[in-house]
This record gives sequence, structure tokens and C-alpha cells, in this order.
Amino acid sequence: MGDSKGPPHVFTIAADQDVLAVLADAVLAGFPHRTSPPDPARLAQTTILVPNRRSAQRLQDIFHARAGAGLILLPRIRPIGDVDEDRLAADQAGDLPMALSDTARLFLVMDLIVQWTEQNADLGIARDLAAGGGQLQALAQSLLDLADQAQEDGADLARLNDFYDADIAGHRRAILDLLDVIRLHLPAALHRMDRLDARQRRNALIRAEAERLTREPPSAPVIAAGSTGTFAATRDLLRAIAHLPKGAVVLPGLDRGLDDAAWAAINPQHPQHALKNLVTFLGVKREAVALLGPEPGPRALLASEVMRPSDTSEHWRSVLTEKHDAIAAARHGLHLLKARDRHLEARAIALLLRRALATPGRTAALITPDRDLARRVKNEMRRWQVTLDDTAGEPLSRFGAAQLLALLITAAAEGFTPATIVALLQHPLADLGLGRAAAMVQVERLEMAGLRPPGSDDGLAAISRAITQARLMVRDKSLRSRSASALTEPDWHDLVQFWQVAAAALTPLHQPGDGDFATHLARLRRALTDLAPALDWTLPEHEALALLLADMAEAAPFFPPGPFARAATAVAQRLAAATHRPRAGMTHPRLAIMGLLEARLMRPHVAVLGGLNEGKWPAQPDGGPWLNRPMRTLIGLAQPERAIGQTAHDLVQAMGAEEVHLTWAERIGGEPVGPSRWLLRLQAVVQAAGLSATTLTDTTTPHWAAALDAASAMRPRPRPAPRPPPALRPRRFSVTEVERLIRDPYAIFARKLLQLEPLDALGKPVDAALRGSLFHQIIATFNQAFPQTLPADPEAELLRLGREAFAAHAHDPEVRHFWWPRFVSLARWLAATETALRQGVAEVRAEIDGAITFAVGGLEHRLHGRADRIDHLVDGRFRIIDYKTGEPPSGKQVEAGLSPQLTLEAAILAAGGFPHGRGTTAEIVFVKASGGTPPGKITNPLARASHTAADLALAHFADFKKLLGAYQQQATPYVPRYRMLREEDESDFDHLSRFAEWRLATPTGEEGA
Amino acid sequence: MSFPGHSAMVLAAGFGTRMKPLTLTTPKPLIRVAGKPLIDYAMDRLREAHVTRAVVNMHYLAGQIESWAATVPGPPIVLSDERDAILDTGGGISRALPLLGPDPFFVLNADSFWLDVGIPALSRLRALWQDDAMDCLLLLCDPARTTGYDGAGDFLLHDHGRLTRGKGEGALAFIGAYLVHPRLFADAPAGAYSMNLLWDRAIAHGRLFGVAHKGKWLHVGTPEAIGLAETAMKG
Repeated sequence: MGDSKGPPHVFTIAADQDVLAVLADAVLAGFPHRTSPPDPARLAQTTILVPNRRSAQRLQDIFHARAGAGLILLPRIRPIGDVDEDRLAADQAGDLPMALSDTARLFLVMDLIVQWTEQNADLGIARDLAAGGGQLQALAQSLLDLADQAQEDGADLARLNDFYDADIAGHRRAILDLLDVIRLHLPAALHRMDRLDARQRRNALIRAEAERLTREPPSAPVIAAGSTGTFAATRDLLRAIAHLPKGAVVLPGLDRGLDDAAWAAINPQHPQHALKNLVTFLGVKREAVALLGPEPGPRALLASEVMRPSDTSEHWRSVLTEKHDAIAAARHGLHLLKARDRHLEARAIALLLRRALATPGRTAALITPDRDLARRVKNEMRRWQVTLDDTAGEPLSRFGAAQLLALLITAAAEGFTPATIVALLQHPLADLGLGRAAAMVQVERLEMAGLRPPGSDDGLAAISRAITQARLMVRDKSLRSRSASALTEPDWHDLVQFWQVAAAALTPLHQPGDGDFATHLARLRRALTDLAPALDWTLPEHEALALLLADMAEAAPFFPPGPFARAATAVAQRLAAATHRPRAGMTHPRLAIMGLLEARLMRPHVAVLGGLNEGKWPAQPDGGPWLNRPMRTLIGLAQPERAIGQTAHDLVQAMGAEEVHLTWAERIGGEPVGPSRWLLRLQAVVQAAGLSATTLTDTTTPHWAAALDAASAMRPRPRPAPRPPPALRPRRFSVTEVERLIRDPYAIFARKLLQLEPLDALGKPVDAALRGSLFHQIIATFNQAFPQTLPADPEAELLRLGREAFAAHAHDPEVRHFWWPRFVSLARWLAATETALRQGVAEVRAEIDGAITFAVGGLEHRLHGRADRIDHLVDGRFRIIDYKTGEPPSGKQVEAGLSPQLTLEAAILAAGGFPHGRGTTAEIVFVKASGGTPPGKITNPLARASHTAADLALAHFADFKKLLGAYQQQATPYVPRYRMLREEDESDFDHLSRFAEWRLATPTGEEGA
Repeated sequence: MSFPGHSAMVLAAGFGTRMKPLTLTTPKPLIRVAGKPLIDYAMDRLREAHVTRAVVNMHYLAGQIESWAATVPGPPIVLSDERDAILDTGGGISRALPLLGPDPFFVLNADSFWLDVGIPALSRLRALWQDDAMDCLLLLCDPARTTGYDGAGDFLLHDHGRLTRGKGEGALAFIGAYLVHPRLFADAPAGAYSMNLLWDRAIAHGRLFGVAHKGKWLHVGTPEAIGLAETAMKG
């Protein structure tokens, strides 16, 4: 191809110029051939190739704007990668096999990896892969990234063979073996199927086009503009065009002014690196490249110095003194902005964009490689009801049906736990055809009645069982849930039917057998439409999902057949990677957010170059996990630093805008971070030129950004102190509620007056409360069965009763493996101690209800309680025993009346409220029955007290009556957390009382009352 | 579940009356726009959509269609010979049904000529196909996006993409491309009939659907329209 008749036609446009505008003006003036005035018909035959669709669109717009009202015949403007297959001779394009879609190729590589792991089962790496199924797709993608980079660079993976002979470490050999998947197996598979990798095919077409142009040079001009030629195939095409008699290659911002020493010192991190390679490749000397449009202005000169290779920065002093005036001028409209953190950086950028809107017709763009910053700025702009066009889009999985599908896959993966079921059925689209409002009613009922199955019983069947059980328990009044009790028979009927429909939709996803991907995918799609029958696939976000599903369905034959979970994970990962751009019509015409690629050849009036932190822009060079530097060099793969040079070039070009803001943050995610190296050099250059860099610094905007949301003063809410009318206040208390009234009166208010009942968190594992009630139930049964004499083998009897009680939870591994052994040791301890405990006891009675009524302030009150156990002693007195699976209250708490459960039971006994008649309490006892180490402990809380149990019973009852008297007063409030045992104890109603808001402002406890 | 649109029917039997005098000697599918026969654009779309078999029917100037078919790089073409009868759009498909398989297939008029923006239109038809709800899914275009079309539209597009007949305000024009299930032809008349008959039946059952095309539609209905299409292809 180097056999040109003349020198190659290569031009450049200065870095600070608007490339496309300069190009359009030149073409209208007759470029590339001085046929001025240009012949309109000739213009129409000119072809202009630009790097991408966005720049093609913009160039068209510029031509239209230049033409004004007059009609012109536009040149053909096309993205450089879009080769017109029709114009290639049939023997070139027609012979190329069809392309394989990216998804199909990914699935194919996943399949090849699975095969590879099966064939290399003896390798450690293969075993790791087989075990970590969820990583399969990421691994395949990573291998393909390497294959693609090799394509782009024109590198040859086959040369990795040379390494096999070398003495290399074993693990690296295994990795090279794995690389066979893309090096050998993938090409072989493609060949068998007569398909081509899409990139390979595109490159083949581009090269075919280059050959066609060389073979049959067109009579009309062909211009390629704006490309830096980083892809090998594109370079070939550029060279062919440069050598056409009527061809021209226009480079963006080739630095013709840089001195030769610096030019020679350019390394991959330098913005001119790609262009330097390209001009060499095109066979033209830098000084022979002609300038199109104006000479470089001050900004271009400044950027060139900022980027000067550091080896030659000794020239700075002399060069910069010479360029003093230019650098002084370059400062005009150039601003440096430092923010405390990302959040404030985003807000400052939003202010800058918003300010641009104040000038009619002014355009502004945030240009950044940092997706997080882009998202934040987009959110900040909502403050002014400005919707920005973010060219990178948003994750598809945030939209409607795609979101529902993601939830569906999660729910299936987790075995349909209650929490995942709620998330799924609460989704606005998942109405099972009932309409959203009606479905929500059912979901609420489901939550009350079905989603807290006993134990950690899980899955769809457990929920069905829980509904049936709750319905029965409500019928026989053994379920104390107020909300479930409110359901009528028709309500239950509707709920059961609703759940049947939901379960029918989900059951096919519950551990289905192995199968091919198409079947698994169809199953997911079916479940989705069963959950959401009214789904409108024609909405743009749903069409995007439909396309994604169709793409996967088409690629399905390539996916390794196997378990549903693997297929579902793959779908979830494709879903997570997909983006969706909401309707462009809704976004602002003058503002935009662009990534670095999209921003190339764009030229807003105001360019905010955001996220200029070292590590972000430039990013940390990442060569990927597969090859080390020598390997990359050997096979002709570019070093990762090349990416730094590319993003440096993007920065230099963008710095040509009329108004430029360079922004960075001092902290990202709480971590201190440094500014981009280029910002430091910018300041150094300005100072070395004898100028002040502080005039560049914008301190106003960050100040405004901080002030925008500053609150004047914070006034925390006071601790609540509800004072309901005395007539409404409760007058019936259980002995345990009395302790709550003493410690946390607000809880009594919430439960008894507001009638609120706390619900367990969904999917809460079987907890201590259930364990306590199981142990209690067994001990009570035992005591009731043997009121006077113990059985011959109490331990065996306890174990027998234990097995019966545990049977209901047999499926639960936690109960089986942790609680049962605890109970076994508890049973042994109980059997051993019970004989001693029964000394001097005439009769044991367990689970006995007692109550007394009395008047306070002329109103009848009632105190009731269920004693775990009351022993009738041979001396005629009584002993009250309470079993605790947790820690029993201390003697101090009991004596002080703060934990008055047993002393109040003694008071009920003294007043004749138990079936025993009036009785005197000799002793109160706690039996700690935890099954831990030790398994149990008997304590007498009043062992060291200065009063007897009987005296304390009378005193605590009197205190209680006094307390009730106080609550008869309108002025007495139900304050939260009045005398909590420990400050860190949680109350069920902390959220309701907004504890977190008032805790710091109000002293808790009695002082705050 | 197999994938809809593996095969396609290309309707190339028509007389192209409105294209006279060009069609006196050349069948309309072979009339050139920007140097290339109209039907080749349709074939490009099929190739792009990875369609694996195209059934092309022929009646008028069938010999030329036959010679053309020999030059097409792909997808593989099966000719459905209708030299013995004039079958109209529906009748032509009915005759070719055994060649098209049991799954939904594409139908393209040989002169369907559109420009895609973003996702190709045939991929959109395929993605939006819902087998349990639809018998036929048509590609439609807002008349404002067309070149060389002066009609008032054919269908009204409702929620979920359901179609009814309609003209004027809000009506969309039929582009000449659709995805259809063979079951729609189960009770079709024998001999010649128009697809309109089956579409009206599908509308009556709420099973005719449509998708609005996002790019341009270049209607090459008259000799003058060729120049307009060539200009539009550049923009």
C-alpha cells in the first residue's frame, strides 16, 4: 500500500480548535482540493469518515447550520467503522461468514471453559473454576477482553506458544493453558460453525475497504477526520485514504510546535503518543503535516507545556519565559476547582452547569470518566428540575419489568424466603392481574398471616403451610395477632387464592432440574409474565428488556446446558450489565453529561472536566489478570499505560473550550485522594512562567455549593410524652406488663392505647424467644405430669417429652443441631437438681393463672399473671418459681421493685387470687434453664435482702397502686425509656418514639421526665 | 421454545403497476435504487437478522427473479413458483407455508425499504413477539417519517401494541414487513386472497399487533420516488 504516487495527504487541526467546525468550513471552501468556489455536486460526492455516530451527527448539524436557509447537498458522512458492505465487491464481503453476536460469543466461551475444566480436572485452577460457578461469566468476559484487545492492537496470541518452551512457573503455565480457550478453542469453534467474531469481521471489512480504495481509487474526495488510529484495522484504512489521489486524513491536535527533543521523548503516557505512532505509520514527517484552520492558540500552547515529557522539563524555564504572554492569556476562562469531597464536587459542577443556562443559547457539558460523579451531578440537577442527557445511560435493572426480573432471579436463588417474596410481590408490576391496589391488600394480609412461618421453615410450601396454620389458629383463637384476627372468612378465602396464583407462577422456578438455557430462560420469562400479566412490552424500558431476552434466546444454543441456577445467574449478570437511556426528548437540549469517548469532537461553550483525581483521570493502568509485561511485549500487545496517553489527549482537546473548569475532590468515599498529575503540572507551568496560579482557583463555587444545603440551626425533637385522657388509660395489667410500665411507659401506651403489635423481621431465624417457649413448655408438662412424686428416671421422662415437643421443628437444622443438645444437657441437670428442690414440697403446680381486682381512685383495676410454678410447702407456705432461659433479674432489681414479676405474683397469692386460696410466700426462686455451661442455675434473688418475700409482696403491690394512681392523673405522661435496665437495651417502640432523634438532646431516664 | 423468525417470506410476485414504465421490462423488486436492486435491501435486512432461509415467490417476469436469486450471497433462497396463478399476498404465503416451518416467520414485501436507527427493526419485531397473545406483528411507521408516501395511514396503535384499522390523525402506515404465526392461515380461503382479510380476522380477536418504526421508511412507489429515496439514504 505504500506504493503511492505522491506524499500522503495528512493534515491536522490545532488542539484548541473545534475540529468538526474547522473541517466543515474547510470542506465548504473546497478542501481537500482547491476548487474554490466548490461545486455543489462535487460536495455531495465527497465522503467524510469520522470516529463515531455522535460525531457524524454533529458534523451534519454543523453543515446544516452553515448552509442556513439555503439548501445544500451534504457530503456523505459516516462513522469510520461502518463499512458499506454493498460497495465491497461480492468476493470480499460476500465470502465473509456471518458475525456471532457478543452474547453468543460470551456463552460459547463459557461453554468452552466448562469443557476445559472437565478435561483438565487434575489442575487446581480447573477445580477452583468448577467450584465457583458464579464466576464463570466474569471469567469468560475477562478472557474475551484480552482477545478483543489483541484484535485492536493487531497482536498475535499464537505467539504465546513461545512461552511454553521457556522455564515458567507452574501456575502461569496453567493460566496459559486456560488461555487456549480463546487462543485455540474459540477460533476452532467459530470455524466449525462458519461464523466470525463480530470484531474480527468488522476489522476484515475495514481492511477490505482499505484494499478496495487502493485498488479502485474513487474519483471523488474521501476525508477521514478525528481518528487517532488506535485500532490496527483503522490505521490501515487511514493509510489507504492518505495515499488516495483525492484523499485526506485530518488528525486531531497533532502538536507541531513541540521541540524535537520533547517529541523524541514521548512515551505511552503522553497525549501525542498515538498520533506520533500514526504519522510514522502513515509515512509522513511531523513537519510535513499541514495545518488546517487557525494556528494553535494560547490554550493549545499551555496544554502542550503541561504535557511536556518530564525528561525535557529542564527546558521549562527558557521556553516558558518566552511563552509568558500566551500562558497569561490561556488563563482567561480557565478555572481550577477543588472540593472537599465528591459530593460537593458534584454540587459545584451542578452550579456551573446551571449558570450556563442563564445565558441563552450557551451549551455546557460535564465530561468525566467517573460514572459515580456523573450520577451525582445528574441527581443534583433535579434541584432545578433539569434532566440531563447522560450518554452512558442508567442500569436497565432499575426499570420496571427488568427490576422485577432481577428480583425474581434473586428470590429463586435464595429459595423463596419470606423477605424475597415480599420484595417480589410488592413490586408495582407484580399484581397477578388483580390490579395494583387489590394486590397490595393481599400482600399485606400475606405478611400478617403467611410470611413468618414457625422456625426457619422456608420456601413456597412453608408459606402455604403458615397460611393454613394461621387460619386455624385464628379460628380457635390461639393466634394473638390482632391484624390476622381481623380477617373474615371471605378474606381468608381471597388470601389463599391469591397465594395459590402467586405460588403457581413461582413453583416452576423452585429447584427445576438441569436443562438447556433456552428452557431455563423461557421458564423465567413465563414466571415474569405470570406475575405481571398486564406488562406492556411496548414501553421503551420494557422493549429494552425484550431485546435483551431475545438476544439471549438467540444465543441460547451456545450456553452450556446444566443447572437452572447457572443459567439464572447468567441472566442476572447480563441484566446487571445492561443500560437503558430514558427518552432523549425529556432531556435538556443545552446540557449533557459525557464519558471521554462520547466527548471526543464535541465542543460545548462550557466544558466541566470533572473527577480529575489521580486514579480516576488518569485511571490506574490495568493490564488485566492474564499476561505480564514481557508477555505483552512479545505478542505485540500495547502496554496498559497507553490508556493514560489517550485520556490525556482527551483532556488536551477538551481544554480548548471557551470556558473550562477542571474539578477534583480531596476525598472520595471517605478516603483522601490526590489531584490528577496534570493539575499539579498545570500549576507548576503557570508559576514557572512567572505568573500566579491562584487566579485560576475558583473558591466561590465550592463555597456556594457548601452553602446551598446548609441548615441554619438544628432543633432536635423533644422526647415524646403523650398524655391521653385518664378515661382511656389501661386498668388491666399482667405482672410482666407492670415491669414495662415502670421501665418503658411509652411501650404500654403504644401497645394498649395505640394497639400496636411489634412484628418480627421477615426471615428472622428461629430465635431465643422460641427456644424459651419450647423449654418452658416441656418443663411445664413435666411438672404437671408429676405434681407429687417424681418418676423413676426423671431424665428419661424429660427427654421423652422433649422429643415430642421438638418434633414440630425437626426439619430445622439449627434446632436439631444446636438446641437439642442444649436441651439434653438441661434435662440431665434438671433431673439431678429436681430431687433436692422437691425436699419439703407437698405439691407442685405449674402454669397457673391468677388475678385480683382492686380499686384505685374509685376505679376498678385488675392485676393478673400466669405463674410458671407454685410449690405448696409442707409447712403450709408457698414457693414461687420462675424459669428463665435468659439471665434472671438481679436481687437488687427485684428488691427495689423494678422487676416485680414474682413479688406481684406473691401479692396475688396473698390476696387469694390463685386457686390455692390466700397463701403466704416463703420464698421466690429463679431457675435459669439455658442448657449452656452450666446447664442451669437456681437463684434466690432475696437471699441477701433485708425484707422477706411476703413483706416485699405487700410493699410492691402498694407501690403499684401508687403508680396507677399517678397514671390516673391527666398530667402524667407515658414517656419512653424511663428506667431501662441498660441504656443500650432496645425497646420495640424506639422507632415510633423517634429515639435516635431525641436521644442526644434529651437526657433519658427519670431526669428527662 | 424455538426462536421466532428463523425463516422469512419475501413477496416478489407483484406487477408493480404504479412503477410503470420501469416495470414493463423489469420486475419491481429488481428496480435499482442507489445502484442496487430494491430486493437486495430486503435481503440485507434478513441477513443482518440472521434469518436462515428465505422463501421468495415469483410470478411476473419470474425468469429475472430466478436469475437474480442465483447471485444472492445469503441467506439461502427457496423459490416459490407462482407462474401458474395470480395468488395475491395471502394466497402466495398460503402456497409457501410448507416451506416456512411451524414457527412464526417474517414476511417482507420485496420493495420494503427502510433505514434503521439503533436496533434493527426485525430484531425489535422478534423481541416483542409474544406467542400466546399474538398472531401477527406488523412494522408500522409514522407518516411524518416517510419519504415518497402520501397516504393517510392504515392502523391505529393502542396500549400493548394492539392494532385497529384507522386513517388520518395518529394513524400509522404499514411498511411491508411483519412477523406472523402459521396458525393465522389455518382457516384461510383457497386460491387468491389478500392478507388484509386475515388481519381483519386477527383484529376481531384482538390478536393483531404493531410496532412503530424508529427510523425512516422510504416508500418507492413511483418512478419519482427513487430520487427521493436516494437523497434520504445520505442524511
